[in-house]
Amino acid sequence: MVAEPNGARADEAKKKRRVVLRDPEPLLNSDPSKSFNPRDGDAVVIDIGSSELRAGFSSADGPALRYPPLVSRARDPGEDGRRKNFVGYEALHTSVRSGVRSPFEANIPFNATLLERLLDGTIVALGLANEKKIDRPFVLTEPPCQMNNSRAFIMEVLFEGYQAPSVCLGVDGLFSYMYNMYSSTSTSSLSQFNDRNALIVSSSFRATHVLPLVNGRFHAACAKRINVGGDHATEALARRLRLLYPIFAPALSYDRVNLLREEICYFSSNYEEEVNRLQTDPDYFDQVETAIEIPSQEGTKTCPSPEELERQRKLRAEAGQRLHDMMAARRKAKATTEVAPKEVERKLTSEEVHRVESLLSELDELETISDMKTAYEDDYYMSLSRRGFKQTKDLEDAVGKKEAEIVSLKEELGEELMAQAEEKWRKRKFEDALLETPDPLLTADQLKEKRKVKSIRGAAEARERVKLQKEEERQKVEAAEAELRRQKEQDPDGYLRRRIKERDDLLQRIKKRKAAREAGSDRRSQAARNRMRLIAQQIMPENGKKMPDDFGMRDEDWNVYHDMQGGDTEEEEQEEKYLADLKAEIFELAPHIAALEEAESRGAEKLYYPIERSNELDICLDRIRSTEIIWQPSIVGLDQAGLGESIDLSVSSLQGATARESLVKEIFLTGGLMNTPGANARLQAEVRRVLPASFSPGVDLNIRLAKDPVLDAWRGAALLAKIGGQELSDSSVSRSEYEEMGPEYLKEHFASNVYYQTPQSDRERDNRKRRR
Amino acid sequence: MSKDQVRRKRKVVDGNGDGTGLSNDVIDIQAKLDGGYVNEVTSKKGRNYKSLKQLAGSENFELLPPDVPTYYNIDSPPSTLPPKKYCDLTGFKANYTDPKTRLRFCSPEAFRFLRSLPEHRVQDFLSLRQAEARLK
Repeated sequence: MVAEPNGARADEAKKKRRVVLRDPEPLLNSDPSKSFNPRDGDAVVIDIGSSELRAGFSSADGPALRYPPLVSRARDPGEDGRRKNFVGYEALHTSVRSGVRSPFEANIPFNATLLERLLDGTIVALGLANEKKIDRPFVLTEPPCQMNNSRAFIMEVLFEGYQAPSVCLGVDGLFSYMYNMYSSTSTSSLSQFNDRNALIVSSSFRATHVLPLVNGRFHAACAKRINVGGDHATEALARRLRLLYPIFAPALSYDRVNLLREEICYFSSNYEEEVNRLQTDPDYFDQVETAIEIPSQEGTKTCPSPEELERQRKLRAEAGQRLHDMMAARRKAKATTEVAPKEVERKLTSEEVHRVESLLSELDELETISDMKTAYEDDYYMSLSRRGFKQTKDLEDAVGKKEAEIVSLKEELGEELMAQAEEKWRKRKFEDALLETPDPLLTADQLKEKRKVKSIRGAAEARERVKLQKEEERQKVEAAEAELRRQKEQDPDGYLRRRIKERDDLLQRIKKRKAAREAGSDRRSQAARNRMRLIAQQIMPENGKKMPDDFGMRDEDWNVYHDMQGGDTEEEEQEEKYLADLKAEIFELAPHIAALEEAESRGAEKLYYPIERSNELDICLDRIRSTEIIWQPSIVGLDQAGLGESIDLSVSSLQGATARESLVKEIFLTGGLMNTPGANARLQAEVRRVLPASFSPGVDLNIRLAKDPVLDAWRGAALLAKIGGQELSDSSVSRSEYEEMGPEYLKEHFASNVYYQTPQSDRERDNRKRRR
Repeated sequence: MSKDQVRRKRKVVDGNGDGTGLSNDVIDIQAKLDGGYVNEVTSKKGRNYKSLKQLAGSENFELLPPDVPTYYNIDSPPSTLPPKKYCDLTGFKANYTDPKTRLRFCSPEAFRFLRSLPEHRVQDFLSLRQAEARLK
């Protein structure tokens, strides 16, 4: 039964990449299985990034602590309920999300208080809190072109809070470069970097930097920063997915999407071309498309044990049995109480009632005639001849016959029932007489009685009418159905054609109505104008004349509200339902046609509509779009030059063609976002594009990716500390230098920022003078 | 006397008398963490909360010569290339813009989908590229 294209599709679906959306594993600030015993003289190395803080001792090969730079204050449940400060994952585990704060804004640690708490927590976690004085050199990272203020409060905390002997600060991307260079060469001195030229591209959590290294120094004047990073890529992806698949929005948390991005997103080496190819080449689309499985809510519940399941099953069975018994008892009781009186109270069928009543009324009529004999003789004879009786005896015979019939009927039905029927008939006859009598001839009581009878009769008649109408409608529907069935049997093809046409018409109608509604939202449209006219008419009729106030007397009057609203939701719902029925019927009649149509419309829709399935969603173009934002920040609405353009700006602002050339010859990639596949190829393409024409065409591009783009910055900082000696002390601010030069002071070295003094405004200078 | 001056004065008094504002007492970090931060260096120094903008304001960047690299002048300038336009629904190249919703679209199908969206979701789509209607 499976048609050929379906088979092919199924094969493709099998091949399609599938990824399960999962939560990051719960992490601890430090691995408890690993103990870190710092050697004497080991430096404390901290890489403070906006995504993660990495801290450890310089002799280790990696940071001992890794956690997000988050701080919270919460009551510690373990102790006497005092409020304590938590950092990193501990903060996330102990506090509500809103109470957890980061000292960072963009890529700058700007909140002094939070930063101090973060550093304090780190020192405690490193096991240094019990030392009265931390007699170890510190090596820290900072963002490129760190603000002096921000640096000042870090220095204050280190020198005054921890009594640090010396502090060395360097840029994370440059440290990473240093580490990779150092480990790839055999010489053990840093002086080899003194005349190095390189372009370092560091794409981290909140920002992407282009950092030129000229003659072994950070050439900050030509540095560029693009204010997008991995955080923005994840956020962009998460927001888009939540919008395209609203039903999965609760499941698409930031942390999950972040993992997903790291897993499936890549840099396209030529974005324009790839986007075009995805649009035009369905095979390629299917190849790139990835299905994301959303974990079901049941999956997260803990699975009950087999004993527990057995117990629950027993409980359910018992409850079911109890209910069953109860119902049986109730049924039994009902049967015993109801059966006995039912036999006594046998009711007459409508046919029997009719028989009794017709007999009685005929007899009554004959008796009326015979009664007339004495009072109105002329009328009597006229009635006689009208009934076809020749003489009085005929009449008497007829009366006798009827009476005999009544007696036999009485025997047949039983005394009591007959009496009841007779009673009813008499009452009706009396009521009829009452209704026929004109009002003036009645007494007050009789009039009252008449009114009562009238209303009761009216209601009964109305009920009867409705019943008839319903019956008629039912018959009509049945007839229509029978007709359809007949058509279906006699001419199945024609029938199917008609049904398909009906469906198409209905679809058309629904579409038109939707279009009309859309037009209604535009004030100048014809539909909107009609609506306004109707409303105005209701308030003030045309010609300014007041309409006779009989609105609502006719049923059609109320249609005006329907017209005003521009549609009836109830009607629409019915139509939608009918459409669904039609579709189902067509599918039943001709599954092959329906399947083909479905497949065709899906084929077109697939590219354009987010198709929701019960537990998965598809990602295709977003695999390259979310990371594309560092090349084209305009995708997320940021008006800034992308990375390619920024590299061009950075390189071309450098003096000297040979310097520029040497810079482009060595490009180094680092930072978390550069872990994304395809970074190298894309950068090749971008640099080739922006390469100045004066460059020799055969320029060899040497683009290298850091061994570990995430941790190498910490390792570079640790390396400087490990080399120690003169190299370290030349790069560090000592205690006496801090006291002399102030907290903003920075010792420049090849991985450091450029130091400049914060200028003083005239007012500040005056204030200082006055204080002296 | 401004608040700032008061704080500065206190700092000098708290210090060890050499005018650097340094305290001779060693701060016990664990106690600081446990005891709810009575002894914070930063608060002692009057470094109370400032937004990044305020922080940048006190850097006096405007008084520096323009060639000194600062946090703000390493910011990449606006792009000189015309921004590429992509379909707000599919991400494909968008040749059209809906005059009513300002959404960009690439095909009739995408247009139909975008037109079927209620207003708030239109704004959500626009906000992905920071083009939503902003009340001023």
